Amino acid sequence: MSKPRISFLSQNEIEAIHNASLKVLERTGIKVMSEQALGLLKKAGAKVDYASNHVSIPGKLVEEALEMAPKTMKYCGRNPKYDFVLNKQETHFLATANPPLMIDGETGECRYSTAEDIVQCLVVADYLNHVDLVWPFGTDLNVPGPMLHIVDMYTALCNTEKHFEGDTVTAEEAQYQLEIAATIVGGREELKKRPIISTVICTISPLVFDKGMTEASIEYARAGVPVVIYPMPAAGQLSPATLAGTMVVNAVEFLGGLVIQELASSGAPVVWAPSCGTVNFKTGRRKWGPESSLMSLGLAQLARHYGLPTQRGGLGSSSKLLDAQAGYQKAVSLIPSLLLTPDIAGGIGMLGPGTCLETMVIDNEIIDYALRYVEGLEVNDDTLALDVIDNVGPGGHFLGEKHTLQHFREGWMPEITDMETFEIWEKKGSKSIAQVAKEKTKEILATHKVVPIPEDVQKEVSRIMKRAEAELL
Amino acid sequence: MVDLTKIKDSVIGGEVDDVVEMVRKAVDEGQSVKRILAEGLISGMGIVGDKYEKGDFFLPEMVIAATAMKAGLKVLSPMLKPGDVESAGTVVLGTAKGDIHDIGKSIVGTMLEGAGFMVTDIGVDAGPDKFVETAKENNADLIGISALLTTTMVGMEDVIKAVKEAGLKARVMIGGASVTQEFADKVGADGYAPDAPSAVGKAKELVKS
Ligand code: B1M
Repeated sequence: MSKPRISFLSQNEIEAIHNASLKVLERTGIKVMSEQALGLLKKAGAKVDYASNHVSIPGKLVEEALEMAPKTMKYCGRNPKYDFVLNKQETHFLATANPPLMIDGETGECRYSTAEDIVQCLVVADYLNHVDLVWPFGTDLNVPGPMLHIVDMYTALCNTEKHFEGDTVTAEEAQYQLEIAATIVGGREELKKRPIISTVICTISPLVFDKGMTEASIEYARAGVPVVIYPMPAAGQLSPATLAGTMVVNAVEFLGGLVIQELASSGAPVVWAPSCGTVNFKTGRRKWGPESSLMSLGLAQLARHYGLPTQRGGLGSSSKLLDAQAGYQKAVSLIPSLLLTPDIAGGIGMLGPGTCLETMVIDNEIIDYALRYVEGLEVNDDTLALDVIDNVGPGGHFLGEKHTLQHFREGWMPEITDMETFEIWEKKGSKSIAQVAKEKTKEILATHKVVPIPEDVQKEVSRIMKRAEAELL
Repeated sequence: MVDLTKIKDSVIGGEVDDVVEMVRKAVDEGQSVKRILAEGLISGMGIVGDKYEKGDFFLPEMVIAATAMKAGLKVLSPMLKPGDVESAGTVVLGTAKGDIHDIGKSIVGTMLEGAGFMVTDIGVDAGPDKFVETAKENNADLIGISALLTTTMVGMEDVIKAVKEAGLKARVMIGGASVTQEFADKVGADGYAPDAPSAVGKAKELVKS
């Protein structure tokens, strides 16, 4: 199979970014707000100044961490049929959504999400064939702050059998999340073997590591559960205005985080999400334009050079509605993203200001299309089909050929995309894609049943939730 | 004699060193501190604000001009008497407790400075006490709280309560990606703004009322 792939940075350029990153880690250093992490770094030989939280990390520590970090890892679901391996061969899709707002795909109404919205999104995600894992879809404002990330996980694990990648901003949250997941899979050892959860840890560009998030990541490392390190520099705002300089800041933060993870527990599973923004200098907001894709693709090449798994944006959009802009932004960002086979690509369900249930259904279709495209095509005797061409000869058609019968189902078939004539489309109600998607989500919600957590386990998990509330509130 | 319009131009151009040098020189020459401030620094920042509104200037130009303005102000501040600073109002600005998102807050701060407000930025992860204390110290007209997380948004209500309990005159404005007018009404904020330019308008309105 010949698959369309890109790699546009030369080996020299990749090494230049790597070497620059090592230089920054040693010369400029990073600021780590956690004493616990500073202790690990100091013990391993980094130059640590406790008073200013400053650390200078020698290249040797980075090289060692790159050695220790696993090159493949398992991401599991509550139901093992949803398990997958991050091994750089295939892309798995993440419903990223965009809390805390919810957008109605048909009417465009935008409002805070509710507990009910979140469950609906999870059910639809559980149903859609291209969703392999989920992020929190929304935020229920009735959930008190210290419980939010624990409730996010609990709700997700109850309402989908697929993997959940959450947020964790304190060590306490991490402990409860890990305890809940362990209870569901049957213990800590089992969770290490079959991590049904993972967490996203953001660094604070430029070059700062938050106390809470860092200590949460250490808990995950010690539990052997994957951590996604997610630096988010933005060119000219949180990193240099030049693309290469922004890539360096991203790589430095990733490598700094990786060193902490591997020192906390050698062999800790780590995924790199090299998100790089560009900025609208009028408003200061990110604009996720073509340069963002370029930087993140470049860093994906660096991740390949390290042999480490990556998670990347896929279907990005800043549109406020489920409209043409949403469609072209998502398609245009997804296809190049897949050309470097990230292990995980996100964006399913997200629009600019919030989460959109109907968008999930459309994104599923865009992915279907894009996956077929990156699958490529095969050139061999059978596919060159000389005998068939000879048989039909000049003129005529191929519809009646046995060869056609054997192969015609290989072609991409849309599920919801309209490709009918005007008359047929009109006869079917002249529906926009938003209406079609809305009907599809209604149908899914009416018919799809998520297999619940067994009752006895559910009881045990509820007890943990109660304990968390008593301790954290 | 240092020409005050040169100071103004250097603020507009973001020439930090030039501004500091000229302000020092003007002070040494015995020029009026109040005039250096008004005709040099504040009027320079005012033009920067206008240029931004017209679309000629972008954020990096605003930020560097504000840096130049503040560097000049620092030279003057030991000599300033109450009443010398004719600002649009005094603002204490920070990001809510538990929240480290600071880009939006900093942009709002810069824009307020561009519109002639005196802004004290208390940084991120700021609790009610920090807001109240700093507002007291600066006799603030306005307290601005930014929050981007739903978990930290809720903490803004505690600041509003603390401000009321302390009996401060300062009004409270809130904002940030996750905040809406509906939420602002619910927690009893005096004002809300969805972006930085409207934050300036809202600030002017709140300070007057
Ligand atoms: C006083 O009066 C006023 C008036 C107007 C005011 C105002 C005050 N303040 C702002 N305004 C207004 O004017 C500004 C200028 O026009 C505007 O400010 P904004 O701040 O809205 O806009 C800025 C100019 C640009 N916008 C931004 O800078 C924020 C962009 C997004 C992508 C974002 C970023 C960049 C970051 N993040 Co964060 N982050 C997101 C954001 C998504 C989003 N939709 O906003 C959000 C806020 N983050 C989120 C999350 C979950 C998190 N983040 C985290 C971390 C980070 C970074 C460090 C990586 C980085 C911040 C860098 C920094 N130095 O600030 C973590 C939390 C850390 C913490 N304890 O605070 C972490 C928990 C992720 C993790 N797992 O680690 C989400 C919150 C969801 C929720 N339920 O609340 C989020 C909405 C993204 C999402 N949809 O998932 C207006 O809102």
